[in-house]
Amino acid sequence: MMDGFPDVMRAEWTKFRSVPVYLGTLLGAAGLMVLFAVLISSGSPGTYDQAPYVDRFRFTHRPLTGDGSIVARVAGQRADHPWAMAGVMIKESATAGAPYAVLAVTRGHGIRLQARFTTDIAGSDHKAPHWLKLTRAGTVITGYTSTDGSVWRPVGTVTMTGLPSTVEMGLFATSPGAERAVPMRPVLMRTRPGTAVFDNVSVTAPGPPWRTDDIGGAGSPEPPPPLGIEPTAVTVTTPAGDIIGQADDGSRVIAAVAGSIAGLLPLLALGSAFVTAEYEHGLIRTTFAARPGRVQVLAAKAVVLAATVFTTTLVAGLAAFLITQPLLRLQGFRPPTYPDPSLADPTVLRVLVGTAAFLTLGAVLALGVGAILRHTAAAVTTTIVLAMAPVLVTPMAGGPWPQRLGPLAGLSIQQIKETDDAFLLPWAGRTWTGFTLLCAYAAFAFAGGCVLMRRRDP
Amino acid sequence: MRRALRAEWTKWRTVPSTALAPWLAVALTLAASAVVAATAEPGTTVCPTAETCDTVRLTLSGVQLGQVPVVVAAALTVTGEYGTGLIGPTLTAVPRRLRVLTTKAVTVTAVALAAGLLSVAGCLIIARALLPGSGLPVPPADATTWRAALATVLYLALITLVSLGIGALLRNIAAAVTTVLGLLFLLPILARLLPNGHLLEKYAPTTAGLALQTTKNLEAQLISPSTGLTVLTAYAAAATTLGALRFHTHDP
Repeated sequence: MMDGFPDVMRAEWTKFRSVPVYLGTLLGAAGLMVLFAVLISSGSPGTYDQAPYVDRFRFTHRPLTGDGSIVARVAGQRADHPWAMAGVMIKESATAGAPYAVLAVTRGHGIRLQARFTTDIAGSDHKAPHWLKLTRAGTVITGYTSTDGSVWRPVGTVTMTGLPSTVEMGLFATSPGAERAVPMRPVLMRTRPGTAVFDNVSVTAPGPPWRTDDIGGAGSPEPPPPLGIEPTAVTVTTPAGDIIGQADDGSRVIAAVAGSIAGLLPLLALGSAFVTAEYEHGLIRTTFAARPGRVQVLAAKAVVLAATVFTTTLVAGLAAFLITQPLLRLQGFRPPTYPDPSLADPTVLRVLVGTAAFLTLGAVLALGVGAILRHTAAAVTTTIVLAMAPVLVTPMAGGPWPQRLGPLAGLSIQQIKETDDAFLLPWAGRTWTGFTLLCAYAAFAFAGGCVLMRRRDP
Repeated sequence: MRRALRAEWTKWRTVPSTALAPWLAVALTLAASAVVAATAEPGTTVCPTAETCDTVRLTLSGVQLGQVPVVVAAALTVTGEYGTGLIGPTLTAVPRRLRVLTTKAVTVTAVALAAGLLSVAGCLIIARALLPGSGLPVPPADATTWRAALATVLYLALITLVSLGIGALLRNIAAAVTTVLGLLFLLPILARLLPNGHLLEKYAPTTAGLALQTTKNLEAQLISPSTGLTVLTAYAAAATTLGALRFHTHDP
């Protein structure tokens, strides 16, 4: 407390810049970030190589000529993905890519009325069991839902111009997998076959018999169960399949920061070693002799570390963003589906600045752990295991919670359009929750370091 | 050679961080395996149904956490001497540098084998106690189970040598630990983000080495157990050779 804080900071800055390993680590971390951004940007949006949509599901259907409707109660749905659907469909023909309108219950996103790979209208938040009704009047398709089969509430209408007079009408189920993954963010959910159990199935007029087709090659080892002449209870199982159009999923921005985790490890080691090395070399005694304010010393270290890490990783992130844009365009991520992102876009800024802040908080957390443990190997190991272990067990745990609660929850700051947690992207829809949690971890470690440093002899 | 070995053993067991490592490894392995065995259930990614579940691999999976203290201690046996300057007296007492590194390798391998044997035995006992409660069958006491169990011990020994080699190569504990843990934990994750990353994931030391634990659904694995063993041995050979070269040709 006898010296001004700026003096302490200057001393720490001198230590930092005069140790070649520190500077090398900092630049190495930045280099890894850019390298992985470039590598990640060298892949194409593989799911959509053949067509700008995925249209793969099992369809139990019959033709409908003229106006009419289909009613069914989804008695139960078994699937894992939040976007797995079970519902009723009107489709121009039983071929992949043909125009369609569906009304379905989903596992995690309520009732949805969707059409032609582009329209998505949200209904109520109900899950199965629920009643669904889809009617056709000319080119207008209307969806209704009901909890009891007598009182119907409209969900919305879609207009399908050019719809022929005879269409296919029926029941379907989906179980999304890789299609729902942003290319740079593997899907977190495990994929089981999606099964929908329907009862109280009725269609307006009797007509040709029902049949079951695997649209887009959604075939399964088990053949579909035989259907009666006019079945009222039907079970549809799709091994793996989805109905989704190619859309901007934020890939143009994510690619620049998806590799930031590669830069994290060296920065964690840097944060820990910045304080533990002084203990191991005995320099800490000299430091404390010169500056008896121990908390001041640790605070100065934190400021120097945070400033250098933040600046370096922000520059690296910006460089990665600029370098990856032409690469991504070359790989097929281009307008109109993937609009060119702009640095003036608040989301892009939040992702780039947020990633630098995420890495900075990681380094400060490591510094705190270093001050607590005072042993390089122990501190570096503890920090890396604490950071990585929750992420590693998440895909096996069958739930999003481990990575939501670990220090890497801070990666939530990189969200762009995610509706569900993905691997290395926790807290979907709650951008700041995970980031706040990481702030709390860093603050807790730093405070712990301060308390122990003050209490113990070096 | 015997004296040099005894010297290394004395260093290992009298420095608290290395002396504690094998015990910590056993404790962490058993704790992690117990959690996995207690929380496992049929119908998850790792365990689709009770029949197809690879309960042996499941039970032994705790070694992924348990390996950490042993590999860090292995790196410490070399880098620690550079940090404290002990490397000077060590090389004065035993001037043949390769002999020094060999005795270190023998010591860490022996410790890893011992810790591995204890861990694996504990894991199998845990499996017997906890798996039935999770609705899963106890692994049979057949040749496949024994192979997976012994392979886990071998994995631990080889990965320890990888770490020793990296320690001798980098001579800085923070750098060595980061490199080794990055290789073990970060490489498979990064591989999943990259286009055609399965090629990289396949040859990551953990994926390749732990393929040896597989007893069921062999065709669904990224890499076959025998190829996995070859890959891991190659890692160990490459790391120790590079480490030995640097140790031999550069002054402390």
